[in-house]
Amino acid sequence: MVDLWGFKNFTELEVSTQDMPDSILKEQIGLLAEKTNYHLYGKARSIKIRSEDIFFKLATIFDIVVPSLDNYSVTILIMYSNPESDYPVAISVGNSLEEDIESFNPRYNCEDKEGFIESIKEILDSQEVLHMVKILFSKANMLSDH
Amino acid sequence: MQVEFIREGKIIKFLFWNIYKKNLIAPIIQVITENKVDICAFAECDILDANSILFQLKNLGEDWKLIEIMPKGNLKLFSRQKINISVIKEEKHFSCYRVRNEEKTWLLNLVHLSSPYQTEEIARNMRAQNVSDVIRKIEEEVFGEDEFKSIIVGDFNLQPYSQGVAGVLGFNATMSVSNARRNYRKIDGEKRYFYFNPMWKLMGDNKLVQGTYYSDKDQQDLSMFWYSFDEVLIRPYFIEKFNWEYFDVIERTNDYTFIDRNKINKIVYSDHLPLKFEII
Repeated sequence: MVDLWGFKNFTELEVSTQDMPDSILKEQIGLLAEKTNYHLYGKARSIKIRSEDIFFKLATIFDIVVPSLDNYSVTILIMYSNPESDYPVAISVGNSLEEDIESFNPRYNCEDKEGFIESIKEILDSQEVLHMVKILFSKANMLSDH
Repeated sequence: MQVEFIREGKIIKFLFWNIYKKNLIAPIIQVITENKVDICAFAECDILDANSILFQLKNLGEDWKLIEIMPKGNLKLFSRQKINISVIKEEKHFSCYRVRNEEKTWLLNLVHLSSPYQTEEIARNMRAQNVSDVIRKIEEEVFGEDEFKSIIVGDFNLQPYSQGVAGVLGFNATMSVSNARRNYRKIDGEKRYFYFNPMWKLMGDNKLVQGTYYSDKDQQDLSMFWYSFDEVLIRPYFIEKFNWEYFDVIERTNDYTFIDRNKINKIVYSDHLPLKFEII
């Protein structure tokens, strides 16, 4: 059979999509568990947006999960995108999906990979996120010590 | 006897009340004790003194706890100490709790959706649809391929027949037991799972109180007067376990009457009445 696809296999496809927003976000999500000795981990879930007022049709919610608190989770950021394109994307921070839908005013609008990485770095490096991570880590750590 | 049943995981009595940003400690305590409530949830708790509730219940010999970690909105949920319940998500308009009962895990979701004072009904319906999507995602994570065992209670700020509550893209909450038991209906090839909405029974009752909220004015000039904005929606799993005898809107306690001149006395108490239900 002749293979008419434009990529060789899974590995090649994975490598070629490394620069896409979902892959970049997935990498950072994966790092959280390692960096916190698995007291916390990151989780992403995608939800279709039904609002006519929002240009984007897909919300990817990045939660921090605390296994020792019965998998309690806190939303760190929501990335808004369209299924058929990699960019532009928008990012809201500290809001829930329903809050964003009530009033869509994302903190970051990213037109390309550079802008996206810069925005994600600014968010994950912020005092706001660090404070959240510290609180959750401290609760998780306390429970694991006793 | 009540506590023994709870330990065995057989009966749980619930209460929900939007308390209108008031610190209604004494009426709350009486509603809880007179109705032998096990889990109670409140909306608009901006100034509610949670410690005072716990302290007063303790003085009555009842050991209760407040279930919250990092709350974002003005919802609060209390339960008896013996109930195995933990919060897994706290958002501005809803909170999600995992309850472990008789080796079964189920979800209790508490909602307070957008107010009609700030938002038109079309927008409220849209937001309800989005919250229902988020809650369904959590159900998928918790239950996987198993049957969804969830209850949603709270102030939806939408009537049971609204698009947001009854609509197939909203909570898909039907008044029909037989249809709810089908578990889902397919729309454009996608499974949309049913809730059963028992509120319709209270709306049709031939008595003074026919809802949990009263208003002389309607945005669409409807002569409704009584509204069922506060609702409990149950997945089909709970239909057989729902106690119709206990299910009611609470109008009074021994010392407090929440109705005055055929309306809700919102000057003294809340603009909503408490709603109680029981799972057996």
